Amino acid sequence: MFGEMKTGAYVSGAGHLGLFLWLIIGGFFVARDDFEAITVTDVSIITADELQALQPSGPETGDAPPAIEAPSEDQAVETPAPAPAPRPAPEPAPAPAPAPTPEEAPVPDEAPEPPVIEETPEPEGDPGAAELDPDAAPAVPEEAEVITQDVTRAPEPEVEIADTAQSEVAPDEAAEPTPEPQEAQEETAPEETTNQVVTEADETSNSAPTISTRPGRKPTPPPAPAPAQTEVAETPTEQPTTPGLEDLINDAVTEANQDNAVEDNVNPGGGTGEPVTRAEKGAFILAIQRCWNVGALSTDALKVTVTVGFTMTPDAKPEIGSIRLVGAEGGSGAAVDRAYESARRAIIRCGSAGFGLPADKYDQWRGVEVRFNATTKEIR
Amino acid sequence: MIHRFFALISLALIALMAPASAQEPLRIELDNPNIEPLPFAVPNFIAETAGADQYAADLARVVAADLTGSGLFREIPSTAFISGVTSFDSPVQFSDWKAINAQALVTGSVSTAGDDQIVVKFRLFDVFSENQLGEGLQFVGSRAGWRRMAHKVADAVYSRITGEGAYFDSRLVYVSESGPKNARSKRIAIMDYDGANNQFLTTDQSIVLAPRFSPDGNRVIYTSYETGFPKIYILDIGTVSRQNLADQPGTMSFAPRFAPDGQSVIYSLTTGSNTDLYKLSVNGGAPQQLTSDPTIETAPSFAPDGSQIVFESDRSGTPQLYVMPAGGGAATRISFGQGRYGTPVWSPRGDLIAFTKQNRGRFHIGVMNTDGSGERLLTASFLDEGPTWAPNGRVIMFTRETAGEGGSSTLYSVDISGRNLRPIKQGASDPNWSPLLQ
Repeated sequence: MFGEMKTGAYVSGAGHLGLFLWLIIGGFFVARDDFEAITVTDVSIITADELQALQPSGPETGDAPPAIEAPSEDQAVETPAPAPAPRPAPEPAPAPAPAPTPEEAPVPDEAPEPPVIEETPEPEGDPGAAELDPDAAPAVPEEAEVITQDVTRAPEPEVEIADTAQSEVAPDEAAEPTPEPQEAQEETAPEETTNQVVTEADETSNSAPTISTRPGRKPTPPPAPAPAQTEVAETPTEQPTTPGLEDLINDAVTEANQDNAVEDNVNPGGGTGEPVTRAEKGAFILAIQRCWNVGALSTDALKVTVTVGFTMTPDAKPEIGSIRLVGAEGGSGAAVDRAYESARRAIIRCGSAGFGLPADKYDQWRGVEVRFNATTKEIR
Repeated sequence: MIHRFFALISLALIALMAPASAQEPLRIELDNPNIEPLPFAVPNFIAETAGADQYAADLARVVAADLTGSGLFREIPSTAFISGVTSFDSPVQFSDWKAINAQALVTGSVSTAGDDQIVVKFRLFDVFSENQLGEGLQFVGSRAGWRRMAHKVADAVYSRITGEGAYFDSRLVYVSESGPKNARSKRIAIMDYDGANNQFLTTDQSIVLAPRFSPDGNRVIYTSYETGFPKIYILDIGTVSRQNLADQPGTMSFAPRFAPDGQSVIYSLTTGSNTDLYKLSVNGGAPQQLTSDPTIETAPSFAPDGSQIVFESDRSGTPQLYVMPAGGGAATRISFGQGRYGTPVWSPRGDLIAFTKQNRGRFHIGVMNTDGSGERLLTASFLDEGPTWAPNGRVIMFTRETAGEGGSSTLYSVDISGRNLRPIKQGASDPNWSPLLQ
């Protein structure tokens, strides 16, 4: 009897123990599931239009330019691309030119050639032309059989570009000797208006501007604050003086490097380095901008702003494979492609030698997003 | 235990968030790009068969001239090349081209086939990206048409890099002028867009004006004074046969232009002292009068979709530009700047209207939006007039005449940005650009 009761107690004890274990262990998992299930997050309700507006536009990459149609009478077939160049030790890129100062206007690699003027007027008619008489037997105009190299006519002798026109003057040997013979001088001519848009206001202008009229990328920092009143009070005999230019520059640089360190790039999560200063950021902008050329872009592509992201190696060189289109505004797919390619070229060209960013702030500039806004050069 | 669990979860979340914050990219904005021609290199094409050497060199030169002439590209001379291209299929040594700052590289080959054919292949490379831009293309054509094949290659390169439409493989019809100003003979002539392959279509027995291509480029409509009065003719370029159009006794017809569908023409007709615009089918029939003002309406030009016409009228007292429906109706004035406006031409893109403007003793070629806004003057000289659009709507050609008894007319082209003003052909006027050749 007692044994049966003891057995029942064992069974009851084991059952209770199992129940307790289930409550502890099983409850533990149940409680964790409940914890995840009831996590509350703040949400906001947006409309479908707003959601659409948040979606990035434009293609992901610009690696697929439109195919070119061959002429109907010609057969056009694709030819395979050659194998990549096996260059185990590629030659180093040329040393880049020193970064231009913000005050310098962009200077083309070569001065534009003067317009090519035909050297001599054509004789009566065009000797190279074939005359087709409407009264004669019908004839189909044929293209030249003789290969000619006369793509353009010979230019006039080069003249030096000057603000005012002057004729060529040669030393006059037959003239009466004078105490100071007239020196030979080169013929000069006013520069053609080939590199500027002529407007009503520019009608009397004969030369292209020599420097950019656009304001500098960065405004001049404000001058340092005036000396405190207490200092003046301590030296009442001294005349108040205006801070010198050097002082202003020093103050501005100090302010830029210390007080006005770029706050919009402060790493909220911390990091190992100091924030990138405004000066460092400005130098980085100039380094990319130096290679950003939109001179060969379509009018549509000039209306596009693309944002390009990439990562950099610790020596501040872009990882070419990481360059990607993050976003685009203001143009069609083809225009975005061309704008992106232009931006990509700029990053690769000027990044090949490194952008010179401080290594101790690598965490700050390891990842970069550059917004290339070409709309300032849009042809309106 | 629960507290410990929450503590562990919190630490894990912090650990997960910290690297994410460290990867927040540095964000900068550039808004002052350079506007310079893009440097490119075109080594001589590879001659793959005997007899193709001359073609190989000439093709490369025409391609380079096309690209350079657009003003958007700058050729790097071959003397600067570090390495050449010895085979069309050999790998490109990008580092050598980077070293001379060639941002685009065009390689090609040419081979002869049969008695009269050549095969031209080309590839385009983005040097700094070390990528090929698009697929390589191959053209097969007659030897006599090698220049057209070069223009085709240049068109492909131009479009792939700029994103603009092509225009090198096109032609111009114009008035060829010779002789002194007071006794100048004029003939209608046709040539490639770059001045090559010049051919005359008419004799110099009478004055001819304003030749205009049909939309398919196979016919030319123009005005001739051979009867003593201006009359309109349509000339078939292939057969050099022509027909008189809109021949109404006692009237003068001039300033003709084809409709975009090529089935009708629009022109000015003077009866008595009044000049109005008329429309007529190329197959004949009764002309349709589009304007009826007691003033001079002339120089009509269709919008590319054929829905509207822009023209010149002095109904306000001075020549100005107006837009009206293609079938006639109320016209809206679109030019309001100082000076006189004339010879409007609608862009093939449909977005701009080019025009001639006279103001303060100078002539200008300008462009404006189709509603008259955004006027920009591109040139200024003693006499600029008669703009015509390239097929891609990016380039304008016009006539520039110099002053004085010895003055002459020269065709000039200019980019719509106002850059790259350059002479094309001397002793020529009144140009009209063909569509892209088929």
